[in-house]
Amino acid sequence: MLSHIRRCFSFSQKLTFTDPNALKIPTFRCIDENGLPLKGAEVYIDAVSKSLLMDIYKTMVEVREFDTIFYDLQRQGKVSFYMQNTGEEGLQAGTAAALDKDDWICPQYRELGLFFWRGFDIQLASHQMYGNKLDLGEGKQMPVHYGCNAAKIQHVSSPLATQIPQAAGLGYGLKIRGEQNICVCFYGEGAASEGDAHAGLNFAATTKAHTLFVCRNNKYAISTPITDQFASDGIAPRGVGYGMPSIRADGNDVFAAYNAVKESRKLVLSTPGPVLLEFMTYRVGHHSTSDDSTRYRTKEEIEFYKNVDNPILRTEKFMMHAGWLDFDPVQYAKDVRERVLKAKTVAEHIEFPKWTVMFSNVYDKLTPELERQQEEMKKHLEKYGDKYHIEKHEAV
Amino acid sequence: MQRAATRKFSSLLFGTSPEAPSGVPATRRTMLQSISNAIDITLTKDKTACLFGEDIAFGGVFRVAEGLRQKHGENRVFNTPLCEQGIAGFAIGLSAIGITTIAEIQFADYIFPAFDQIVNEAAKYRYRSGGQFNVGSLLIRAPYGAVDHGALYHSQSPEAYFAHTPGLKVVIPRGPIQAKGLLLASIRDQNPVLFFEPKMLYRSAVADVPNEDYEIPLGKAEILKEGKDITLIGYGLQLVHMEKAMIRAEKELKISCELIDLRTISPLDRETIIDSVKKTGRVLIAHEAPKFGGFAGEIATIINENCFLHLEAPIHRVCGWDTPFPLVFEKMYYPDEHRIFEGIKSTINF
Ligand SMILES: Cc1ncc(C[n+]2csc(CCOP(=O)(O)OP(=O)(O)O)c2C)c(N)n1
Repeated sequence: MLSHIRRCFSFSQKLTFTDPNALKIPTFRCIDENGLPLKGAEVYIDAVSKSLLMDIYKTMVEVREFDTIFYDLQRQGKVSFYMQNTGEEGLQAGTAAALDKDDWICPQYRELGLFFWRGFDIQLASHQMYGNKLDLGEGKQMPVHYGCNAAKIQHVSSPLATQIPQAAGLGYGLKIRGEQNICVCFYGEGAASEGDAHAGLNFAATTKAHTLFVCRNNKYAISTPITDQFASDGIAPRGVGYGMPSIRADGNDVFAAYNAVKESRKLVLSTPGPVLLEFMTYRVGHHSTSDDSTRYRTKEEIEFYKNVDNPILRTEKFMMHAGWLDFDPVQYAKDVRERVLKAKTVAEHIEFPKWTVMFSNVYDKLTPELERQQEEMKKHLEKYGDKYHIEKHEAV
Repeated sequence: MQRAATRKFSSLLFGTSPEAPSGVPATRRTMLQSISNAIDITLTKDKTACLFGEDIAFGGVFRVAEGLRQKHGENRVFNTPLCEQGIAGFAIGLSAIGITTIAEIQFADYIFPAFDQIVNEAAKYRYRSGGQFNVGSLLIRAPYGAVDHGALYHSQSPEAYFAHTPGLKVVIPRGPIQAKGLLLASIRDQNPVLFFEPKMLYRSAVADVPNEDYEIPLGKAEILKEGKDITLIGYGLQLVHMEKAMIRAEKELKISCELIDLRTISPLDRETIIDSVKKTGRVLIAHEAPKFGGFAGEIATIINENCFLHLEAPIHRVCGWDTPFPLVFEKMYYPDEHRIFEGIKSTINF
């Protein structure tokens, strides 16, 4: 043990400090902002076939159109809350495409593309937005708090960073069960400041868990810019600090996203042990419908990521150069939009869950006290049901 | 977080308190503006006082700190990284050398990562050092409670967890005038104080708030209305629902109610409660937090220990159900005027 402990460290007679910038990690990228392939990235671009790229594109457009419609619906007071994914569709779809369908996902909340890719579709997401009786979460959480066991995506929950150590545990579980699958954990560069984020990385590293940490560095946590969030070279060096292979990739380049995740996944399983991947991207929309981001950032900045360094536009430009753009993007978007509007119309007309659902799933079954409270509420509703719009809920 | 202002005026709730100055220059302010004003006074008078938290630099997500960074400088009004345990620990360190520290936790629901720092450190700083050290200059503010669309994680009322911890004070204002006086008293109190602000009232509660610096003492409840048949005890937003139920009960049941705003949860003003219940013989306590283990249980026990022979009906609690705070069921979840009215009625008819 003694020699083992001593071997971990070496000696030197130089009194030197390690420069905090010693580890400047570059950003892996395959196509430029005009969608043109970059020299040296041919092998990565070739890894994405035309049909795979179309699937990625489809998911990105679904996310964009869903975002647009539900953002507007919130502005019109039709739904209570929304959070857009705008600007981050590329890393979502690229990651989704590179995973095995049995890999687990621990989301933050800005990862709608992963849901769509895995069959938690526009209709299911619409049900969640309205909290109706077909919402898999039974109308209990705020909008955009999706989760789907069948799609192997754990449930979104508002408290930030809690999923990070959970993903270490989940990934460790996959390893000890001998599964050749990984757990992918998403989080923002803001959430990366939470204590849970540090705990999660260290646990995964020491237990050599099957966990891939994916940090979406979109430059803002609500109004807080990255300059107030960290003084380091972003998030990627933290993985190195905890002893895991780490990489930074361009999140607005679907080829970079796809390949970085593919390789990370291989590395997690072959090591075995965790990997940290930091995606450089930008939150083009407001933080949520409760936010007005023009209060703390410039229009020029937003416009650049909306119109230039944008994953959907860059993909379209690539398709054009490659001669793959054999459809009209405007018509394509319109068709997706129709699908979203249809799903929304279906969802908004479906009633809320039975009022008794309020008491269900606190525990595996109702405790005697919850039964008593439910009975008390029942009597109350017999008298005052109209005050609570009980008619909007499925009849008990 | 920006919601249209729906102004509900209640002279009983949002009127003045006996300890607040009267007949002095005042400005019409929302609770939000009143809290901001109290912080501004503190930062103006105390040149090393600091205000910080997530998104504070641009004014905070509820805009409490609007303009304060420009006025008091970026060294004293600033953003923190996104980390509540960091905010609490950093605040304790500042307070440990006597710096006035106002730390914001963005939502009370997100105070739990800071639980260890608050409960094991701030609360016990003085006790464990034989009084050599203390963090009396520490104040932690957090918006709490229902907003009607906040669901599980933007609605919670965590006061009971903290009231259970010796060494902490827990304060909850009901209106703009109380918010200012209680906040200034909390900041200056020589103990760590948790200040929970009913966010539903941020913009809807409006009052003529005295411009000057004043304090409303901690540990002192306020009788909002005297009555003889039943005592109603609440705090924060619940008082809005209690007042509505009271008006209906007085009319329909032909009774008179005594309404008490606790203002400080810990230390609790036992005398005001005991005296009132001895007089009325009946009591109803309401809070949004779940019933089991909720703060109403503590109040009920104190009443039972001190007023047993005066009670004419069982002590009645109207609380959140023992479930998380569920989105599409919110209006059925928390105690409202109808549930409180029925509670008053059953207590009166016992
Ligand atoms: C523990 C906790 N603290 C604070 C919040 C409030 N909050 C919600 S999202 C957010 C910013 C998150 O930023 P980031 O992790 O970078 O993700 P992004 O929104 O940029 O995708 C904050 C402060 C929260 N949900 N949970």
